[in-house]
Amino acid sequence: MKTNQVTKYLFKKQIVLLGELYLFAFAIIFLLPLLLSVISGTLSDYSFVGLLKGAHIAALFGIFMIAISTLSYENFKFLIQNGISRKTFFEAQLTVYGILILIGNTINLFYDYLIVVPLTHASTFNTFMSLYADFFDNPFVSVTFNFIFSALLLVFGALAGMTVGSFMTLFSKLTQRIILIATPVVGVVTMAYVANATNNAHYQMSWVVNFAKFIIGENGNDVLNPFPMMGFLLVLSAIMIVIIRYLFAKKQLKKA
Amino acid sequence: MSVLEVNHVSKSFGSNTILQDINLAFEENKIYGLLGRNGAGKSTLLNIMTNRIFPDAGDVKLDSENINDNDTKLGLMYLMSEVNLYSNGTTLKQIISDTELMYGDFDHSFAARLIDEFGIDINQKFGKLSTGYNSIFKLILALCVPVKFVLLDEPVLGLDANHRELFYSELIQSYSDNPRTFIISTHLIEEVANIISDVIVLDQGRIMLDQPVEDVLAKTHSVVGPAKDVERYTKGLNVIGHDTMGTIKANYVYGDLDDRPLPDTVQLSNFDLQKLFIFLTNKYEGSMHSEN
Amino acid sequence: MQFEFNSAEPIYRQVAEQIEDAIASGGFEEGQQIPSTTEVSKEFHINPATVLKGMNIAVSKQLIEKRRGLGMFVTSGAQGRILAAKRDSFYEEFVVNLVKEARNLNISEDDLLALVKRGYDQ
Repeated sequence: MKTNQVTKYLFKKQIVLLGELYLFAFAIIFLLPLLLSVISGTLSDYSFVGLLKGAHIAALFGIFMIAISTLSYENFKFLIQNGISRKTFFEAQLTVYGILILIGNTINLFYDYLIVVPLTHASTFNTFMSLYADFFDNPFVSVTFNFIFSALLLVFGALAGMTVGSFMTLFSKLTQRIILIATPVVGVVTMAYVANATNNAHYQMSWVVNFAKFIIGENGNDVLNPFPMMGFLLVLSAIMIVIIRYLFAKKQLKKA
Repeated sequence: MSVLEVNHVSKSFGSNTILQDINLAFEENKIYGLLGRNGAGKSTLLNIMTNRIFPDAGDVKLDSENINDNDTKLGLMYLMSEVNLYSNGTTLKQIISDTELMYGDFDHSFAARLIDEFGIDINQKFGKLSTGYNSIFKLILALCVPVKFVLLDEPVLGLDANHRELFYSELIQSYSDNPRTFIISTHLIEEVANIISDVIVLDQGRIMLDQPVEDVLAKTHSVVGPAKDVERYTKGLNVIGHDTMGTIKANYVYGDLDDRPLPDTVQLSNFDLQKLFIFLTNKYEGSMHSEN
Repeated sequence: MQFEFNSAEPIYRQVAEQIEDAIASGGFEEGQQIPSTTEVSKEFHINPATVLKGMNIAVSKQLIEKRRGLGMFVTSGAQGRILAAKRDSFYEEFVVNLVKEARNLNISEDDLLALVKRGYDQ
């Protein structure tokens, strides 16, 4: 098994990408406005602190994870050229995403707790804090669960990206384009239909609403419980892992 | 002894049958020539052998272990092919070091010599290489990775005459220093005719021939003489082609000649691989035409 | 070594013949080292096993010998042995054909002998 080598290879490649992303983000978020202020002569309006507050580092990282996880074909090409099995690729890629998520999530939370919170005094700076902050009394436990919960969300996003990405690589470029165009259209139509159905016969949809409430952790009182959602994310992630393993095993070199 | 086996492999793309029930065994330290016209299925076969694509039926085994999803076995093979599986933005140097990471070893001193001889700049990016240098770089990788089976799909594509000459020499040097199995797919038969030890002819997705070159050549007989005598002598033999010039005829036989008496007017000699290949692959096409 | 290969005869036999010819003509002198299998293979793009097979024929005829770790060398007396062997086969290979061809052309025995003499006189 060459899982270690492949993990090393993928990590080196993807950590560089992540570094580039942060640099790029820094340039866009802080330097570009500074430059514009200098050019337009409104340097007095430039507020580094203001920009700090508004920098959505976490969202950026989430998008990055989803993006790189859909782009697995490039790595597949290199690895199959070098005699690496699909199984090893799968295991190494999961490991690397795990490490990247640990890194990104840590940066996100440090940013949140050390920069955003002191500056804005806002308590609802991410999904966990806006929904479940009140569930835990002990701040240390709360931070810990914030970390776990955010990481789970990222895992979920990355796996969803991998699922879509591996699914797409089964098809030719043309078919991929058709799927890319067709999916949103079908999605919108379905949503419209569902919305319509919900309006007309809301009693039929009540189990959906109840299920959603259960997942979000509503249990009658004001405080939401994060555990159903965490469990839900875990179960969905496990299912996706099985699907991705299957899809990875089906990867083939496309005809040039 | 390592053996790479192809068992009952078939493959179609849509309604297009590419390979039909292919059975082959590649033994250690031989140089195989996989010959076939364009579209005969050579690349598809090599892609299946290295697990790049899946066969519709059959399997590929290395030392009786299925190579599918098998790092240990896949790591004993390297396929150099026309398709580029390296990313264009990576430098050659980086590709070499990544390749070493994946295969666990790399013959750097041999690579350095080849890089020097071919005059290739390894600080440039893969995507910037011309067709010829693209092939050369991939050939260097193929010769320097620590594998037991080196598969080369049309290796000299885009190489000029000097570089082709150099490549064949270095191929032999590499083989002499470190004997291993080479499988060279090509339609340029003359260039490899004396290098290969075994010949496989693939035509229309089927194996037409799979034998040591020496045995094959021993079975080639050109029978030349007056048409009537030649016809009489070759009656019942496996005549795969012929030439006529006036009343003189040459019948090309593939197979053993039995002890039939040779008329004084008829001359016997052998003919070469290139001719055999043309007859074998034309014959089939001819019969296909008559079916249409 | 000047190798020229034709396609009608097995390559290994041609390798052996070329070595023999080179020794007979004095191209390879007795005691001299001849090119290695790899050198010949590389130069003429011939499978090393084929070259080795040709070399082994020459070894079995005691025209060359392997010196461990050094390479192949022309044996002493090789040239003489080759010439002696060629003399032995001279009748079969040349005289028989010569007479046969002369008969086809209605050249008499005396005329043929006269032609041979003319050849020697030149």
